Amino acid sequence: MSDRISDSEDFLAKWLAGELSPDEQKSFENSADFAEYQAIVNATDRMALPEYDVEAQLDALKSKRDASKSETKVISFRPFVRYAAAAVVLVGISLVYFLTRPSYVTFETLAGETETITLPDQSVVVLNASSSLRYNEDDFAENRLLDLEGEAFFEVTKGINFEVVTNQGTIKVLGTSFNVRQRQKLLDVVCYTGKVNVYKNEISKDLLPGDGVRIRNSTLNKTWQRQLTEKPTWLENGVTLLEEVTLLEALNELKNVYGFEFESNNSLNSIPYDGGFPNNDLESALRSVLSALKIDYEYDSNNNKLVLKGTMDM
Amino acid sequence: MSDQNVCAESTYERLFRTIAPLLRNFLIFKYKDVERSEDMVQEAFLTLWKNCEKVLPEMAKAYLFKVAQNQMLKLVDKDKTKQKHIPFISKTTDNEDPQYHMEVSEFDDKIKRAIDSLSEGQREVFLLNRIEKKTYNEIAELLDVSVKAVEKRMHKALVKIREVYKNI
Repeated sequence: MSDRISDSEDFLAKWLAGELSPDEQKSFENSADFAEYQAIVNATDRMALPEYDVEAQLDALKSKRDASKSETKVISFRPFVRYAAAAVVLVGISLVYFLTRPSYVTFETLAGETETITLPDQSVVVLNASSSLRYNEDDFAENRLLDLEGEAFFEVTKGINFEVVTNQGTIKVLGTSFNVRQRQKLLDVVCYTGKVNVYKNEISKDLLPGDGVRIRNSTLNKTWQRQLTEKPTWLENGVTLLEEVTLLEALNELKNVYGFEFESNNSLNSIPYDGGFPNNDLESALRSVLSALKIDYEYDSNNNKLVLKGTMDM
Repeated sequence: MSDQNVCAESTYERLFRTIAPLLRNFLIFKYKDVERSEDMVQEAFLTLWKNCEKVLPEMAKAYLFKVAQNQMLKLVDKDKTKQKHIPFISKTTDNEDPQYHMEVSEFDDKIKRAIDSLSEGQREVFLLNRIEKKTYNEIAELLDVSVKAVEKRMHKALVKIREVYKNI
C-alpha cells in the first residue's frame, strides 16, 4: 500500500473526495497507512481559526473607505455671457479633437514604486519601478493592445488577442502570465504560465513556461530555459536579478529602483555584469553591484548622486 | 443579480459578508499571519471600491483574491525570516476524559506544526479543503489552477504531514 501511495500523484486526494473505486478503498482501509492518514484528517477536523467578526470588520472598512474619499471641490460657474459664443466655438473644436483622438489610460511609476493595475478585462499587471503602461480605453474590449516602457508582470485572463508593445519587440499572449523587462535597447521576456509569442521584425519566438528570450538592439541576443518560481524575483522576493548585462545597464536598473543620478562614461558599457541586488536597501544594493566589481564609489545622499571613482581599466 | 453594480452599497456589503471570511481564512492559511491577513482583506475591499465600476459582482471574488495576494506578497517580502505559525484553536469535544484529552491535544499539536511546515501551495489547498470544506473544483477556481494541480498538492500535503509529524 505504501508503494501505491508513493507512486501515485493524487491517490490520497481521491480518497478524501471519496473517488476511489470500491476495491481501492477496501485495500487502502486494510493497510497500515490508513489509520495514520485517517488520524491526521480527524485531527485537522478538530481545528478551527479564531473567530472573525464580519460586522465589526465591515464597519471598520466603511469608515476607512469614507475617510479616504477625496473631498469633491465645487466650482461655481459665473455666467460670463459675453464669452459664451466664443466658448461654444472652442467646445466645438475640442469636441472634434477629443472624439477623433484615442483616449489613452496611462499608468506611470516613479523610482522605487510598484503599482498593481487591473485592466478592464480583469487581467492584472504589476508595474515595476520607473515604468509606464498605456492602453486605448475605447477599443480595449476588441483589441487588447498595451504599450509598455520598463518592466511589468502580467497575469492575463483568457480571451481574444492580448499584445504588449515595446520598442524592442512585441509580446503576443493567449491567457497566461509573463514578465517583460524593457530598458533602453534591452528586452527580456520570461513566460510563467501558458504560452506567449515574442516578435520583432523577422524574429518570432514561442515561449512556454520557464522559457526566456532576450532581444538587444532589435536582434535576438539569447534564449534560456529554467526552473521557475511562481512569480519574478522583483515581485516575489524584492530582488532584481541581472544576467549578462553591462555595468551601465546594471546601474540604470539601480537608478530605476532607487532614483539617483550618476555620471556614466563609455567604459561602463564594456564592463560585463552578472548578479543581483535588493530593492529595499540602497547601501547593500550599491555594495553588491560595485564592490563585486572592485569599483570604488561614493554616494552623496544629500543630492542622491553616485560618484564612481577609479573605474577599472577595461 | 448581475445588473446590481458593485458600487451599490447593498451589493458591496453583501460581497463583503460572503467573501471576506473566506478570503481572510485563505490568507491566514497561506501566509500564517492573522493581523496582516485581516488588514489585507480591508485593503482588497478598498481597492474593489475604487474600481467598483469596472468589476462585475460575479467577478469580484476572483478579483479580490488576486488583489489581496499581490498586496500580501509585497508585505511578506519584508520579513520573510520571521517564523510564523497558524494560531489554530481546537473545537470543543464532548469527550471530557482528561487522559484522552491530553493525548489528543498532543497529537493535534504535532499535526499543527506539520501543517505549518508545508509549502504555501500545499497548505492553502489542504486547509481550504479540510477547514473551509471547499471541493477541488472550487479551490481550482479560486487559485486559478487546474483541478489536477489541486489534487496533486492535496496528495503531497498529506504525505508530507505524515512524514513530518513523526519526526516531531
